[in-house]
Amino acid sequence: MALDDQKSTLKFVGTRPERPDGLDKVTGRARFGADTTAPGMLFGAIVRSPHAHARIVKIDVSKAEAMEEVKAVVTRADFVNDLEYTPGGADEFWNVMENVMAGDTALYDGHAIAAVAATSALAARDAVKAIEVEYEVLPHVTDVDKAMASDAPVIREGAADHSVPDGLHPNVVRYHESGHGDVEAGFAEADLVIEDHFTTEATHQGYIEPHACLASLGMDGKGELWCCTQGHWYVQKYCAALLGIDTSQLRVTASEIGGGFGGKTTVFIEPVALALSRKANRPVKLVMNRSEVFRATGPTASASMDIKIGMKKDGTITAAEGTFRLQGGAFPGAPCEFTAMCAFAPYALTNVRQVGYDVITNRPKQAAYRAPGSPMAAFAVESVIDELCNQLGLDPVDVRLKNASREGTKASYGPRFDRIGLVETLEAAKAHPHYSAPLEKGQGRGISCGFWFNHGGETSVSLALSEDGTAQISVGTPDIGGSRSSMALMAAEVLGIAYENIRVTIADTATLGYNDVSHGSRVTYASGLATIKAAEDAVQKLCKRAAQKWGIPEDAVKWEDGHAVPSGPNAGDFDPLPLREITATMGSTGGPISGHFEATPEGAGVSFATHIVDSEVDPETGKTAVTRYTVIQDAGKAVHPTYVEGQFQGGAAQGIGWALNEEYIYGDDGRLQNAVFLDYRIPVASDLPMIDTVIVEVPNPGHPFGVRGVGETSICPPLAAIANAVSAAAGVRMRSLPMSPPKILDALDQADG
Amino acid sequence: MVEVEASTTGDILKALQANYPGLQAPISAGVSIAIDGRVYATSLTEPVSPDQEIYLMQRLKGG
Amino acid sequence: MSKIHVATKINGDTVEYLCDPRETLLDVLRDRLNLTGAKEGCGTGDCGACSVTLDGRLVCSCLVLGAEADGKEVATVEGIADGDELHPLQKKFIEYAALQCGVCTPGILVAAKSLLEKNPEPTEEETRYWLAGNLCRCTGYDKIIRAVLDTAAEMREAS
Repeated sequence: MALDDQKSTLKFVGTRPERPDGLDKVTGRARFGADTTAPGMLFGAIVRSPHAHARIVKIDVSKAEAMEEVKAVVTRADFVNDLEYTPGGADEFWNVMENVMAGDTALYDGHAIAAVAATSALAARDAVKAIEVEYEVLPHVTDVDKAMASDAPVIREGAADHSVPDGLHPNVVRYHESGHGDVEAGFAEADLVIEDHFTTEATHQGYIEPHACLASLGMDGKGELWCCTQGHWYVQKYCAALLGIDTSQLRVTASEIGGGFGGKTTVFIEPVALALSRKANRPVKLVMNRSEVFRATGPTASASMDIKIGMKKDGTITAAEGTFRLQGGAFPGAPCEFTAMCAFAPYALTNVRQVGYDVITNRPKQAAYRAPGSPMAAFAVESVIDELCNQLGLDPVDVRLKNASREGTKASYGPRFDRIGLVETLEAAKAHPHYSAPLEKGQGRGISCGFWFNHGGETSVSLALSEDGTAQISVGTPDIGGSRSSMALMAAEVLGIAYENIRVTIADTATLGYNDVSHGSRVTYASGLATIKAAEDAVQKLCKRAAQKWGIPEDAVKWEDGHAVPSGPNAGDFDPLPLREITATMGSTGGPISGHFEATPEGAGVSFATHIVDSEVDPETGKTAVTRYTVIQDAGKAVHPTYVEGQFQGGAAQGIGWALNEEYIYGDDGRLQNAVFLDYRIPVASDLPMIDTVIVEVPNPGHPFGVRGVGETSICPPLAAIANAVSAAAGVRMRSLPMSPPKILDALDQADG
Repeated sequence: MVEVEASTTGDILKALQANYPGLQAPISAGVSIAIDGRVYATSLTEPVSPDQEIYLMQRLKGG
Repeated sequence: MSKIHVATKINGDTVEYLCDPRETLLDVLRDRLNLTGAKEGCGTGDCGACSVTLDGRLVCSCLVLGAEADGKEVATVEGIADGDELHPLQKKFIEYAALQCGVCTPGILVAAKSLLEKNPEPTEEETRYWLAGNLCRCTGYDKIIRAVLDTAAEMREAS
């Protein structure tokens, strides 16, 4: 795809208009997943396993079915039974089916066993209690290192795919290894080699809106589904597969989405609601409560990591090696390859090797969380680099600049980098007043770089012009960060009409072709690119109508600032023809004018960030606080700078939670012990300082306006930057996240010896 | 470094699978292809030429 | 189980309903009265997405029973604007992009309005502590705090 036509002067892109969904969202009228109803609607509820690992001996639904308010009860028998099992994650249908409703074994605390639909939410809750499940409890394991040990219970025989070398525990289901050069030779060249071990706990995306849907499916195989999701075509495809209906017979509409961050890129309750609806022959609303969200959706992987880096006295990294063991719950899919590939990506290394293990345990199936796999890698790697700088007396920004990846660098994961902006973020960090500001007593400063790939994905956009000269755009990627506004800005740029005259709608699955999920920081890049191309398609048709009107060849007309104009003095002397004059008569000059574009755009362009953090530690209580925070990230071109800042700030805040407080805590019984917001504490307003942002713009050669995705990279540096700051403040290296008060006190105790 | 005859990314994968049976499983599991540094996550139709650097990676997706 | 008859005022309108003794005020607002502005983020009073005022007092409606609203006045996000005139906080939240997904916004607006009624000149720290019961996962709170402080300044100037 030729994308060399980058525009140099932009009129709309880069401005900060108000968002089109703002009014609905400040007045309470925006409709999220749980905010809709249907005539005759029932309420669903799900029976969940209290055991981490148990064979399901018997499910007795008779008492529930006998209740007057109960209209349907479903178990695994109400879904398809012919899905093919393949090792690894290659064919996800089987894995997702097993996760959505347990087969013969409950694989984690919270695993769905059965579901009911009743005439009220309270009646559904009562009916859940009336379902009797007999379990045979099996041995369980929830820790990644323990799950790889020889005596660990086997969660599923034969789950390992082709990539796993012989001799590993059957719980290791995927393996990744990559790199180049000779790491041993590199370590021999180093003046200092540091090798260390790091761990991170699983965290949850923590979106405030629990999963919710309203499903209607008839015995004729035709269905309607309303749900909060990051990707309704994915939902359509998976629900159809799990219920044994044709994909195109299920229309899925994405509601407003109350946060996702990767956690709403798959299905949990949607197939269950459809199964209940089919059995009851009535619409069913199914909404998770918060405890279900924690126990039975998709938190991140937890990680156990070994890092070894060699450095010369002048700061040159001579070799780097990392081993990353990721636990992703009872199914394959922990992003071990991303953790490995992202780990050393910021640095130009002659000798590098990275190994990743995907390990299954008795925990819920992990889901993506903002740059999945990258933040934990950065935590481990950037901690070791920080320690090397400390011990060699080097400035941490200078060392990173010295080793930074640039255009043409052979990346740690293989290919050469295209135009990238890491150096620019480091230079901006060095020049930022934060970096040179004096610290108060008891405070420490940390920095870190971060890397994420970004993604393109299947994308389809349609644009239709109205007679009054306004435009409506249908995009297929749910708006999770203000994308309706960004799409309108990009379309305005091409069409040359006002931002306010464009309305962007997230189309349902019946309206456009397949659109990949809103993930991988792909929306502004890929839907944006498709929007631009769809607008250009419409412009071409507008020019054609002008050519017809003027009686000149089509290629003698060009589009300028919302008007068709003759392309040069030889084309003829005609007054500029505004868009609305062409559309006013379009019905009688050839019919409606629309633009369309569909593709799988490739060229998302990778993204880098550098964060600066100050923190302080109370040695009495072990409490930490972030006192100052600066995010510096390459956005390529910020389409709506305010929303770019919002992504930077949101990622930083989630990173602060991950670094300092948030963790999944499992008891010896394998049950999740903190499945409420009181105990799983995400940052609140009084925990945080203002979060300063610097938008660096190094254009992405793969987008007409130079756009790079920005949503995910902002969570890559925080864990490490905060760990480096806290370690500096505490005077002791912190190797385990979260750096909760007990861990800080332990570390201080050990340092005192 | 391996050599295969191919004019598109899809041809490369087909040729690799034919010539190197050990690559069958990893390629079916999904790969992304980098051509001179630009990563093509899924496309099988990108043209390639002999002077380009081609690199195979496990398939990329995101959150 | 027999239902309880409740007569209350919601956003100034007289409302009567029957509810189960176990139903929360949030359940009643959302499922019986179709006032879905208040959201259930946790059901345990930790997230503040269901914030409303009850006789002027800021509460989590998931921790109040529907029956408790009898004879009281309830105010929700749906009542913040005065007809077609948005409250200054609502305008400022749009202007500052103090919302991303918007699911915490109704609760935060109700809480922030309640703050400004009690303290027209809050410091940043006071604002942060007042809103500490309202979780937002998208914004990092930066733009929310700025929007509230700027609204307070503007309202003081106007009065």
